[in-house]
Amino acid sequence: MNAAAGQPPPVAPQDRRPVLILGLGNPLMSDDAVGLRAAEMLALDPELILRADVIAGGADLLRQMDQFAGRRRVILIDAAEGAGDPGEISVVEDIPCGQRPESAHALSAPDALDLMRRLMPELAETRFTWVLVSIRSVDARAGLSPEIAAALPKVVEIAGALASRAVH
Amino acid sequence: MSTIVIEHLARVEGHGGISVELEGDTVTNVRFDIFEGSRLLEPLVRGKRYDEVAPVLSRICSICSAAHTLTSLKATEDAFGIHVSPQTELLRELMFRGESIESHALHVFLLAVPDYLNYPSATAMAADKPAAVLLGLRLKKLGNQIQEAIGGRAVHPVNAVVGGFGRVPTVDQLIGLRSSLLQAAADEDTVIDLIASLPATDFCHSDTFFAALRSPSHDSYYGGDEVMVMSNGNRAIVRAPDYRSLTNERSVPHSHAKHSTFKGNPFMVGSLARLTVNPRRLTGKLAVAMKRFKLQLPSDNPMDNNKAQALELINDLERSLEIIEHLLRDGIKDERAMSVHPRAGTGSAITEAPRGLLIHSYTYNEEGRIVSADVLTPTSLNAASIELHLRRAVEQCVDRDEATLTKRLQMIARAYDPCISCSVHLVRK
Repeated sequence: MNAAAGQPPPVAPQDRRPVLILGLGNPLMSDDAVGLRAAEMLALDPELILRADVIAGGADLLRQMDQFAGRRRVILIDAAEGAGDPGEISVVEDIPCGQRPESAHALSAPDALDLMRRLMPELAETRFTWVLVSIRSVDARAGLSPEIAAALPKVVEIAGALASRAVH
Repeated sequence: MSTIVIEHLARVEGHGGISVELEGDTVTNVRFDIFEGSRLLEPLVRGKRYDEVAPVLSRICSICSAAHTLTSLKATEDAFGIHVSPQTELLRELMFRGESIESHALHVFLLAVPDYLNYPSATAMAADKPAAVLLGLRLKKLGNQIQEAIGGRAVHPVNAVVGGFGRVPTVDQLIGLRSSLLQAAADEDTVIDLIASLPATDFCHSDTFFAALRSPSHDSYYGGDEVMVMSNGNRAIVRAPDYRSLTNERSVPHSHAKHSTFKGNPFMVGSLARLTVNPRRLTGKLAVAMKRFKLQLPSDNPMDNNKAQALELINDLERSLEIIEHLLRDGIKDERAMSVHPRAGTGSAITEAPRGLLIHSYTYNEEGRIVSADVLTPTSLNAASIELHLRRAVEQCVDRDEATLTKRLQMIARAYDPCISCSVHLVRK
């Protein structure tokens, strides 16, 4: 089930690992990709992937809605604008919704999560945790800014520790 | 003078607004303001090789990336004189259907229906009407699944290339899609019941020019190269190479999207235009649904575009299943893309993206590199028509209180399902 990128094959909820790490972001929008890059690094950890599923999930959280049922804990890694100095990491349980206008393309990740929790009673017992990385740039280019690239090992360490604690 | 300004048009893609100016009872100005920044993707492809063009221009939009990709390929193939195989045409049509299912499901159930039922958003509606939101999400996912199987990715397909496909889907993939589509057949009746139950919306009436691809089968988003323009029983045909005689683009001060008119008349593209131009597809379940929706064609009510989208959604599900059954029955051939021999010249292609006519036209040099490119998107083609219908709504509104007008104007603009990000192409050479 662990996949460095893209959509993993479907697995029945009862057969899933109880912990999911989901990295979010657009690989063509510089620092927005930090969640993807972190998930790709976590997917290389041989011990972690025995206990948790890791997905580099792209920018549309709604596309991952089938991945949540049956999980005890979901750890979402995402970029955050204006949340502190570039590279600053925060761990939060809830993000306010409705901060960005709705568009025809996608809801923001917090809005999409809010919508899924309203629609899916089976997620009532699932704990969601966000690992947010304050970013410098969302320019249309590949590659992270130096501060964000430097913060990446710490992001991986924090998300991995959260997953390990959740397993135990 | 009084003014009504809607600074941000919610639940559409991109950044746009609406401004209305009144002098007493007289409507002096109505503007559909598009202030999304210009994308400048057309000059970006200048000098690019033919096989680099579609991947770049698909980035104009993530929700209609399949349409941009396939229209781009069709234009390039037109320039080089390539005729793809019947199987490739079928698979491309299937990709279009997948995209249309995704786009219409999202727009109808998550963006438009909340308006009719007086909810500010799909999230708010989810508390009371979870089935409607789940239906939209379920169908959106199915549309993504089709695009992923055929195009290699759900967004910005990589598998569709000049001359065909990098690889064709496997029999197992087609069987998987058939299974999902058979399950979705039960959703078709739910779609009909829900749309038929919505309150009538009748904010403006206006003689409307409709423009849509006249496809050989009267039911295609991809095939054909003639546009039919219809109004009040009058018809005109415009062929792809002559597309500028249809569009007649001009810049307007309040919009980064150019406005198009045909013989001086704004025209509407999209679902309602397609059904008006190609009514022969409205048989069987669609005919019954149309009656339940109280939809009569041609319609002078732009809100009927939402009903037309729901009809197309059902048709897309049925047609996708037909295509897959056909491919499984005849056997999917392991075809490779046709070999490409670049030559200097111009190629133009017109298709039907979910929101309406999409035009790509390129001129290549003898090395197969782009000399000039022109892309016209449905929302830019619709911009003048949206403005016309907004004006009629204000003129025909008896109670001109700001709250009523604001809601009506937003609903009319949203009924067009505008993609403002797509509409702002600017530089052409």
